[in-house]
Amino acid sequence: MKTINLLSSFLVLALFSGQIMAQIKVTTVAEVEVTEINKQGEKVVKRTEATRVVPGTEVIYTVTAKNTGNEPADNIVVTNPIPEQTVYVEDSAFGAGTTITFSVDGGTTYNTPAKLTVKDAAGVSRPATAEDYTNVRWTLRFSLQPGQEAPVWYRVRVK
Amino acid sequence: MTRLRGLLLAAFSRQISLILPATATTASYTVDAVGDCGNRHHDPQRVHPPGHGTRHTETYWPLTLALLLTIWLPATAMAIGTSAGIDISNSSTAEYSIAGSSGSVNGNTVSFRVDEKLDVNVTWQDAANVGVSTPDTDQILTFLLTNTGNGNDAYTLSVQNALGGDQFNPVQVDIYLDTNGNGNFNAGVDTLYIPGTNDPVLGADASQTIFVRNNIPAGLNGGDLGNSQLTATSTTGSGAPATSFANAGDNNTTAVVGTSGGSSSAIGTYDVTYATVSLLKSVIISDPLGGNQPMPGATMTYSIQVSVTGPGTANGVVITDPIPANTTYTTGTLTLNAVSLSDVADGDAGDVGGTTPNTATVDLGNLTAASPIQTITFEVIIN
Repeated sequence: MKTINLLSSFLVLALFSGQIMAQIKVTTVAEVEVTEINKQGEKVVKRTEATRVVPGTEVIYTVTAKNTGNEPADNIVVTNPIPEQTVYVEDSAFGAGTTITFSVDGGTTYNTPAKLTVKDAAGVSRPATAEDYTNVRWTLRFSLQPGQEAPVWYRVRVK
Repeated sequence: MTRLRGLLLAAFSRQISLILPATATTASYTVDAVGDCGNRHHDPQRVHPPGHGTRHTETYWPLTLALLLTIWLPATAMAIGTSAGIDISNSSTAEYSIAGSSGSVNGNTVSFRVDEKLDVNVTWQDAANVGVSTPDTDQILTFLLTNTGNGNDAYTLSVQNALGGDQFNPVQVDIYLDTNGNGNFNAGVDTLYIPGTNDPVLGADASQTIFVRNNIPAGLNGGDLGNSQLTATSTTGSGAPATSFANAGDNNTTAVVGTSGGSSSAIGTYDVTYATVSLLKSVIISDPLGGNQPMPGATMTYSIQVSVTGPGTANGVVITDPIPANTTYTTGTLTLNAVSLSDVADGDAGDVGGTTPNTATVDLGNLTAASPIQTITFEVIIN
């Protein structure tokens, strides 16, 4: 009896979630910067989609949250795990009107850089560095209006 | 006689020239006056060839130090790059609330592939310029080749000796690969490099010690330097950084030339700083019957002449010479340059039995070609 109750409430929740899921869309793009020389002989930095890279290359991840529904969305939190073969580039995360926090434990807890610590092999705590970050989180301090997009981004360097 | 002396010279010069560049501080010689020699050879001017009448062993601390240095030179550790062919994926999630209900959504997954970066680094490993004689043969420079890229790569090796900034051009003999990985050249163990046949293949961050052997021309002056450059070039591809070679990388990835250009060179230097120490040993026999037969009771007067040739300095030359078997040292007969030395180990330059039992020891200090010939004599009586 208890099982059935639990199951049914799960179903209701799933249906409800599915309904509002369509209202926010999150898209990630990976790009690299390529320096080209234009017809005027000037150097121009262009961004192109990252398809193949070599170690040491910086890749820019741009995450865009878009409200595709017709009601404002609040309390938006965008999370991106830093790929393990890459290292976060210090001070590269940005998002207008967002509070940016990082995780050093795979996304269990988040904090601002100054408050993050990690333990070394001997169990001694030390301030975390960019290499220690595992996840980036942007908390939007504004409501996303219908049709509005909120792009945020950060850079990684491929190990 | 000349030929015999030449043999002695050759035997000594090899070891001395190896030593001196490594800030040599000690050079010791042992000259064994083999007992039965005196019984057979009584030509007063006779020079004993090495390994027969005269045996010498050199113990050089600087050589030992040089070896240790080579062994302990750390192979620069590199952070291991992401392997070629790996796909790096990423996707974002968003949590939100709309009209009081919260939800979360997963985004798309974006992925790119890691290509092979072609990078290589060559460094010269000898702690100091390699001291050589003039002429000299098969002199070794040690290099370390490291694959600083992120995939497997093979390298073509070449040597360039016509370089500026030096006084002579070494003449290339061959290149050897350090097969047993001990960082030192071992004849008969390490492998002769043949371009295109056994180009060294290295995984990402792996290293290979390379030995370049050159001959040194004749007629050089002391202090002359000669440069020799080893170049390793990726067989996968080289050229301007970012030049790419489709499907040439590991796992069929694109191979992309890194900042090294896929090629790296390092220069090693030879320095003409040898000092050749020569020992000329002779014995005069005087028997109780007024002849020169090596019979019991005969007196054998040994004479050791020490001289140095070449532009370098033989530092801390110590001559030790065991009293031959079946003979007895005649006390008070040790001399250096016709000046008598006491038999006990004290303030003067030598002793017999004081430093080492039943052995003559004479400390000659530092010697150069300008030093006068040092003559050591002592007498023994055949039992």
